[in-house]
Amino acid sequence: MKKRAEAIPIMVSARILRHISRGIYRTPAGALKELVSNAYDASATKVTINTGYPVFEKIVVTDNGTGMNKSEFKTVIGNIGLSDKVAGKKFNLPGSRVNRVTIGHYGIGLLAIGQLCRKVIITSKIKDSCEGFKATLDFEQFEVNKKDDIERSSIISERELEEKDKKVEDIKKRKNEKFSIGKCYIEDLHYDTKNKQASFTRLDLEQIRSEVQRKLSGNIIYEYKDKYKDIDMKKKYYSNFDKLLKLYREKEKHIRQGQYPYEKLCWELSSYSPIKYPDISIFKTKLNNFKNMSDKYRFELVIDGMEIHKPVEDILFNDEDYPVRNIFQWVNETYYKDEGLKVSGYLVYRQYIRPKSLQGVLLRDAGVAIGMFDTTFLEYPYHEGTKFEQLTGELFVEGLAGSLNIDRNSFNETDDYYLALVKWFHGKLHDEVFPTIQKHMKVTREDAVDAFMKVTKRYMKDSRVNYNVKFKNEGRDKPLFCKEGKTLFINKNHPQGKPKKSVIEKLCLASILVISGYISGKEMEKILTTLAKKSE
Amino acid sequence: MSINHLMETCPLKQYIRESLWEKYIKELKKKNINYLTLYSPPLMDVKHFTKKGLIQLEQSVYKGVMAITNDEIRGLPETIKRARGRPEFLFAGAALHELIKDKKNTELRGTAYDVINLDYCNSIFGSEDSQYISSNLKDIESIIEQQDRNNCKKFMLFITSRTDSFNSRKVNFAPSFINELTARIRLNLEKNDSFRDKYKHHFGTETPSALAGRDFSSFFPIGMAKLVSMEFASKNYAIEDCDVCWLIRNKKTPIRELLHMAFSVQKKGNKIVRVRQNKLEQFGTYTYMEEGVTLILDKIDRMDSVNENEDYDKLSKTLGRNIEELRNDTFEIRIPEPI
Repeated sequence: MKKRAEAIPIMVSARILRHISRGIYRTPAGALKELVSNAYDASATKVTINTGYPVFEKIVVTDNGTGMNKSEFKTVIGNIGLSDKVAGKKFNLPGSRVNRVTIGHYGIGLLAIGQLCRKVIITSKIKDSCEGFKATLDFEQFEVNKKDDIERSSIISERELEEKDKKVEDIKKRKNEKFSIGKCYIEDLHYDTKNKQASFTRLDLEQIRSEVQRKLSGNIIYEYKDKYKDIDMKKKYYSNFDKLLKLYREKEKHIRQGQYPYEKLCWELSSYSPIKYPDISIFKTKLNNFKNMSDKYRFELVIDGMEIHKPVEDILFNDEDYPVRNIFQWVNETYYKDEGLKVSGYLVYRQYIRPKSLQGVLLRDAGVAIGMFDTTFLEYPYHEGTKFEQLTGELFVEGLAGSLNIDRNSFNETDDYYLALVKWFHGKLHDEVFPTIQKHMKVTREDAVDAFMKVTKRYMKDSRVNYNVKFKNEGRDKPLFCKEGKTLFINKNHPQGKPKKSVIEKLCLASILVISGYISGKEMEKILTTLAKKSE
Repeated sequence: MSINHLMETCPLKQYIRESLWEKYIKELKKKNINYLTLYSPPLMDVKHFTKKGLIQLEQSVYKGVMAITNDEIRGLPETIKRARGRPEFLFAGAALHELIKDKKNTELRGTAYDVINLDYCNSIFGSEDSQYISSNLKDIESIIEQQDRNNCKKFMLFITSRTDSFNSRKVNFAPSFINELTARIRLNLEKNDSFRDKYKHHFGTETPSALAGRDFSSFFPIGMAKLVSMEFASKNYAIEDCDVCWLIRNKKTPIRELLHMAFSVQKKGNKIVRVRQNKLEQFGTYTYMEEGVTLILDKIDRMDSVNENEDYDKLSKTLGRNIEELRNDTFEIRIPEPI
């Protein structure tokens, strides 16, 4: 006789919530992004974040969204992980035709802020009501509770769960089985009738974790100040966000080493959020479509009194030394035919993309960034050398909400929609972008060599020096200069011999000095190599 | 009650902003003033002048505002909570003159200010005798020198000093400072006919020392005007107009008194008189005399003063709404208070 299968309860430790609340996001910006997402989903048109810079004792996030009433909040807190808020759902901003698409899901976003603080106070009120609420959530209750060396919820024991499980026969009900892992304290608030139409949500993140404070204030890196001379101790002041972006660009190397964490936080939030572009000419002209796309979300973010916009500067598009060479654009192209899913995007080709954080492509779902700028271009399979570093752009994609991983920083790479997007994008890169760049590079190199030849020939004519100069393909480790009779050969494959626009002037001058006999080829090679090392 | 809370709720202080400071700034007839302020975090003065169109708020920046804070760590976060934008420049330091001396502070040193607001919470001079000038007086000296260096033709200077001696006859300044003010007034009485005539008209033959003992509330503004005018004159600036308002906090003891002075100053070139000294030891040196200080005597009879006991409630009714608007003028989304 066949034995009946045994039903065993799936025991979930309270600790999983600690892992989730403290472990989803790599950085403080990640946790704050979650709050921005929630505000966006609540139809907020403005979110303000007060970080308490430079002390970071308390962080306050306020939005003017629809808010919640007490019973809605109780539903949220009583159904962690079972939220029917589904990403990708369309909704209108109240009283307007402005469309948005939800970006949050699972309902666990609230717990993510446990990464930042030990306690949060949530105050909220909906429109057309004089009643609101204040809820206090203590994250410390998820930290410790061990019994028999096995961590459990402090409220319900294993035996109670087993007995409960036996009573539940309906599988559908069992799917939504949940258990309490802690408490949240909630009190009613009453408002004057003159405030009846106000709606808001405010989160006071209190008792910021000391490691977060230390991280954001830069104190962790300052502990090394005696060892490293170039650590900047002075807290910076920015009258506006453009000044912060300028510092980010100038000090990016230091930022990657852990300095300026506040600036990094602001930059990440500005990159992530569905906010407008800065008021610069490129977005009023060539990239106007994308400006319109962003503006339609009607979403403002203010951090510590600074109005935040997307982290691009005018200098990226208006620099005489490094002009934009090409802009590739695609508007409303279909990447998944079966469901008519569309994508719009642009790529800017420029020899020098700074800050480096902008190098690559950034994917946006409903205007919100997924991860950071991707320098692999969704793992483009062919080697294209320096071209990857000379491109920056964004893709605004619809229909990818279901492909997101839980942290919303990456995609499930086996998802059909995601794969379709990759295919579309790689096709564009292969057929359009990289061939155009290749052609341009060839022209640039030819221009550089032409200019070089013109100058050297003119010198030789004027000085009546009977000499020829030619480029030659030799091994990388062969000398840069080689005289053979009346011809000076320049080794094209030597690191200092590549006829690139950026070095051609130096090479020209060096060649003239060698031809004229002022200096030997070997000595000149040494000088050029030393100069190149210093300028790195 | 903290100073920050006082700054953003007190109707008497709002009265000073509107009746004294705003009035003087409007004389400049400029919309984008360069404004240097020893601010307190509520930034009420900046917000008020912005509301009146005298300072521009562009993309959350108060343009042309140079704010000096002595709290490097908390000065900024406290301001951010309370304002709708940020001052265009912010410098943190213990004293203005130290910041001006530092050549790295290029924006601070390189600006010709239209309005300088030295709204000190403490006294312009300490209570202990000292041969040296006080930090606050050094600030005044430095800023006037800088205005000259930056070729500023016309500006307004506001100075606030705590005195705590109005009606109490108890003076909290060092005797040496009072003696100095007395000596300056005496000098004007000796050298300046119009000053002497007006002084006589108000005070008869009473000496400055006697006046200091009897009526400090008149003595001190005259002495301060004289003191500051000599510093102005050394850089060929003359006082075009000046005004005074006392703010007295007398609801609780000890009574606190703050003198608010406003000076409208202009470059006058050779209209400043240099008076050679008479004593041998002063041979080769000059004292600068200028007419503008006489103006203060015109204002003595009509000197404005507000105090908590008599004016607080009345001003709360007339100015309360303005204060409320300024206080709520923050970048943060306004959350109503629950009842």
